[in-house]
Amino acid sequence: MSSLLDHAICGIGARLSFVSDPQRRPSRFRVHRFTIVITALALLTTGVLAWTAALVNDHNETRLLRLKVAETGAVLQAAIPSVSTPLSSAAEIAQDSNGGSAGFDRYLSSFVGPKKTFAFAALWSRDGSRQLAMIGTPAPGTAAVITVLVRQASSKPGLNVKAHLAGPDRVLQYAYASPSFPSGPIVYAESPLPPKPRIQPTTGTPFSDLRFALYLGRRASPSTLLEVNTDGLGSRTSSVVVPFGDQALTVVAASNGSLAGGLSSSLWWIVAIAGGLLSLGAGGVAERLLRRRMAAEALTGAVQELLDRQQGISRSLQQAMVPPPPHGPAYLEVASRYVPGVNELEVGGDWFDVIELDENRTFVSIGDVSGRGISAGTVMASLRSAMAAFVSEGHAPGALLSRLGRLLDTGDTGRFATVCCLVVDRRSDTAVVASAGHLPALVVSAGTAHYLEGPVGPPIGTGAMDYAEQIFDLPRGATLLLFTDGLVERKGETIDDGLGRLSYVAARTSGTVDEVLTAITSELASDLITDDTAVLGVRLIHDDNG
Amino acid sequence: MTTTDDSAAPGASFAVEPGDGEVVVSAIGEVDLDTVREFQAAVDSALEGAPARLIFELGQTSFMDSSGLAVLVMASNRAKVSIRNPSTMVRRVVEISGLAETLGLPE
Repeated sequence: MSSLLDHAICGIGARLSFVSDPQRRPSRFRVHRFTIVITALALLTTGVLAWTAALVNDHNETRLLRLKVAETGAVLQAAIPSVSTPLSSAAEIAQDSNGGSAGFDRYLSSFVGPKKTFAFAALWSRDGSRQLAMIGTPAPGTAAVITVLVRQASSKPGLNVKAHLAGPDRVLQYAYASPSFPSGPIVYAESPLPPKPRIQPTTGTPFSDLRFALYLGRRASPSTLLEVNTDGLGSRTSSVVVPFGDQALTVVAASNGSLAGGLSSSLWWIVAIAGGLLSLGAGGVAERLLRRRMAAEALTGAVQELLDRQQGISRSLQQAMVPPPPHGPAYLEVASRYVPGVNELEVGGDWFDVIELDENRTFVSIGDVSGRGISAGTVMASLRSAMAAFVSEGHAPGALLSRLGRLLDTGDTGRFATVCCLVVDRRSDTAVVASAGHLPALVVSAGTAHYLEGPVGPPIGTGAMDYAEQIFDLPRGATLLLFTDGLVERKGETIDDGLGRLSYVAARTSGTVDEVLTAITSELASDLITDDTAVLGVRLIHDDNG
Repeated sequence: MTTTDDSAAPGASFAVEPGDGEVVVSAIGEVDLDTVREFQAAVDSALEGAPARLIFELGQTSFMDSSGLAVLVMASNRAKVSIRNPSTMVRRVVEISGLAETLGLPE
């Protein structure tokens, strides 16, 4: 029996170590597909969000650039009168003085000079043939162009604008012919342009945070480039066209840095990094939860297995402890029943035994260790073996119980055992019985049943030493029934009620001993009884001689 | 002074009443495998003061099986035990188990 326990304990230990042995866990770097899916979904979402942030930022930058450039256009438009108004006023003054240039000189001089609006101004006849007056010096190499432009103005009144961009002296040229005075003189003026189109970015002006290129004309082309303050404009540009006399100024601009702000432009990678980290975190959490669940499931599985094993062990122990159906010699008919109690996990302490002493006598016993559980079973097994040993030494029932009494101490173990043992003798058709606290044996014969009334000593374990014996008749064909209290003990009654019921049922049985037991146990064994029930029946068989 | 242990299963309740050189332990209800542990605990606490006599008041004990009897037998090793006013059920079980003398069952 101990080897059975040892085997079970080793098996249980092996099972537990499997669950907790790190070497046998799956590698910690292999993740479950579920985790990969979760992480991928989270990363995908992050990607979409980051992309959206980038899109929104892009959209904002474009919008803001457009606004800025439109604003620039408005500023530019507001500045144009600073050129056109002096010219038209000068033309009017010259017209009033009827060819005299003094008024013209006086008025326009304040606009001509270094750092002034114009570098040079002149008054011409309306037909463009004669220069009437001059303020300042014209830029070199412009003589031919001046004539062309003046002639153009004479046929096209209003402000005519041209740009002289060849050579190092780049100038904007204006020729104004008054539309309201068809014969009035033409005013010519020049504004300096930087020697090369590329200028340094300036600060403190509306154009400070823009990179721009300024063209004369409606189209941006290298030949009409007036000024540019950057080496490249990039892909995101906006342009505005501002009418300027008979021409227009075109501004193509790009932003200098982020117009929407650092946060807006950084948002996409902030989202990407934060989202990426969160995704990995989520994946990590998912993986961890998954592993925990699997560990819990493994543990549950292990626990369930342990439970099954324990139940298996209990059942095996119970099987081991169930007294095997005893056989008697040819002259003794023997039958038995063992009905385990309701609680299968608890082993009981009932036993019975039939041992042939010699060709005429047979020893019969029944015993019941109090309580349940493994220790009740082990006490029972010890007592049963000891009893078999004493029987083989030839002790009579009373002496046998005395010896048995020395083996168990209720004070130590908290258990006692009731035992009834007898020796049946076929020569005299009698039996000698001794009882240690056990329920009385029942003799069933010819439709009657009566309990043996004899001396009953205290149960084994209480320290009693003397057990009296009694001899009684056991006629051929009569059935002697030994049983444990599970057969007759019920709640709500006294023991006598149960004994009376058994006697009543037994008296009405007939047939073989086995059939008698079937009838009795089917009537009396109850599903509600937690206690084991053991029943043993013996009968001296009729000889052929009668 | 009476201490009552009502935390027992619904089947039984036990009371321990110390007196002059003796302790009375009462058991009310069914003493079986479900309640025997509480019974043993009550008896253990009764025996703590090492009284000379232990009296079991079992008038309202409606049921007692061998596990309950084992508690009584163990107590009889540690003090002089007697049963007072046993219910019929208890009386018969003690008598039929041959424990009438050991447990001091009244005539």
